[in-house]
Amino acid sequence: MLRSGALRLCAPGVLRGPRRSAAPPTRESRPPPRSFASEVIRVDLSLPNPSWSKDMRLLFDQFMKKTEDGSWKRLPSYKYVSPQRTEVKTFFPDGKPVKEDHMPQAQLFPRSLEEGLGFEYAMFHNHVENRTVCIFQGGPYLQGASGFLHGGAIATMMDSTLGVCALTAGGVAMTANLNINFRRPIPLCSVVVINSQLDKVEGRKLFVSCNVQSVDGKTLHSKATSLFVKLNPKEV
Amino acid sequence: MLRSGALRLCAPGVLRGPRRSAAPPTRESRPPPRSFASEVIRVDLSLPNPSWSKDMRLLFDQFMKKTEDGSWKRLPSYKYVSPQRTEVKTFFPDGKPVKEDHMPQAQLFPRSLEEGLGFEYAMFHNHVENRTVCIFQGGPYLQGASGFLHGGAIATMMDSTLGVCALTAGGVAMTANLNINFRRPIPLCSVVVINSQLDKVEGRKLFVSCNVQSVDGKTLHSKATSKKMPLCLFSLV
Repeated sequence: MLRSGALRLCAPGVLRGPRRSAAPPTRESRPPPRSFASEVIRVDLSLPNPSWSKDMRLLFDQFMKKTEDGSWKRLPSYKYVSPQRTEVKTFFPDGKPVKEDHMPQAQLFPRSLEEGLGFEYAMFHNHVENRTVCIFQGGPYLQGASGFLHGGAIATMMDSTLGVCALTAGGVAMTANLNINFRRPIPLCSVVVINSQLDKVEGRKLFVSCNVQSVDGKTLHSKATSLFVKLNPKEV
Repeated sequence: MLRSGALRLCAPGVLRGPRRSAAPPTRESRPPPRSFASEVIRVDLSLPNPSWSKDMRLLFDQFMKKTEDGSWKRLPSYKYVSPQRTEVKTFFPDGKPVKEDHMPQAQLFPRSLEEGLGFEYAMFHNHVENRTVCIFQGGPYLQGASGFLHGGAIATMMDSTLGVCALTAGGVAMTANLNINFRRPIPLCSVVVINSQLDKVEGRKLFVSCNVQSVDGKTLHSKATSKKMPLCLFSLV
């Protein structure tokens, strides 16, 4: 389905523009996902696609360079969540998830909008410094005030980034508190960098914080602190 | 486009199920939106549609009854945002919104997913008590942990509800702070009630808070406090 303003690749193997030597991996080289519900569809979406702006691609390349010495790692990201029902159900026995056969296959929220229209992002993790960086381009379907990103959209990306930071540090965890200070609104379709780090661990509590900056680092858009609680008691 | 599990009305005027007398307004009675970019498309989405569960419809009816004496009012909700560019640009001269001709027409975030898959909600406001209530059903595309709503999805609805509460009290304002405590995760496709109220006004700062409860009121899912600032004060934070 073609939409004005958002380039889409319709056929596998079709390349647009010149290819640089040792070009970074892109989504174009993979076959398009098929839609059999019984198959596990594992397309890594944290890779460049035609909707990514120049700023987004540049940042991605910068971070891919950092992965070369092994200190940084690019984290894959998929539309479908691996079932972790046992863990969540153990802690919330009365929270009954709706059976999957009653609804369309559930999708990870930040990956549920079509390419270029919603959340375009990629995350990189540094295991030595316990830092996770997310480069994020918010599309036109994330609007709040006219021409700017919705507060909930940026909250979603902050929660996701903080969550990954907590996950890589302490295993499966859920958000207990999220405290965001918004400073300057983010223009729709611009690119921002979300820098998160693990501040402290107290038993099962993981304290993580992050800030959201413009690409040139000159504008601080927002800051957040959060508390995540580990779900698996074995890891305490 | 038909999707398994989510009923969709494809033709205007097609009714499903029995119609009660004096039935509340529904989206079925309106013609489907046309997609000419130059037209202003004003379809009120805060009305029942086939994806709404029984709990959602029940709650909607309860609140519609409350509107009868005039104390409560149902708030309409649209996919496309009225341009307020002058106001936002005046306070953030370096925050340049991207020109609209470079991208598909922008949509209000909580209304950008297709019917039944994302955010299904309706808001009601009581102007005497300065309270806004949002009934919200989160669809399968809002997943975080397997089978449960994403923290960001519930944050989005809380921010939206708090924003409306502030808007009706003090005019156009932006969120300066949002502090959420998550207690119990919300199962995907369940219905919750977000109760928000205006706590305090300090000069032109608006302090609003809300809680998120299950339909039967027995489970407190999360609570939040928020500070909203009118645009002219926002950049001073």
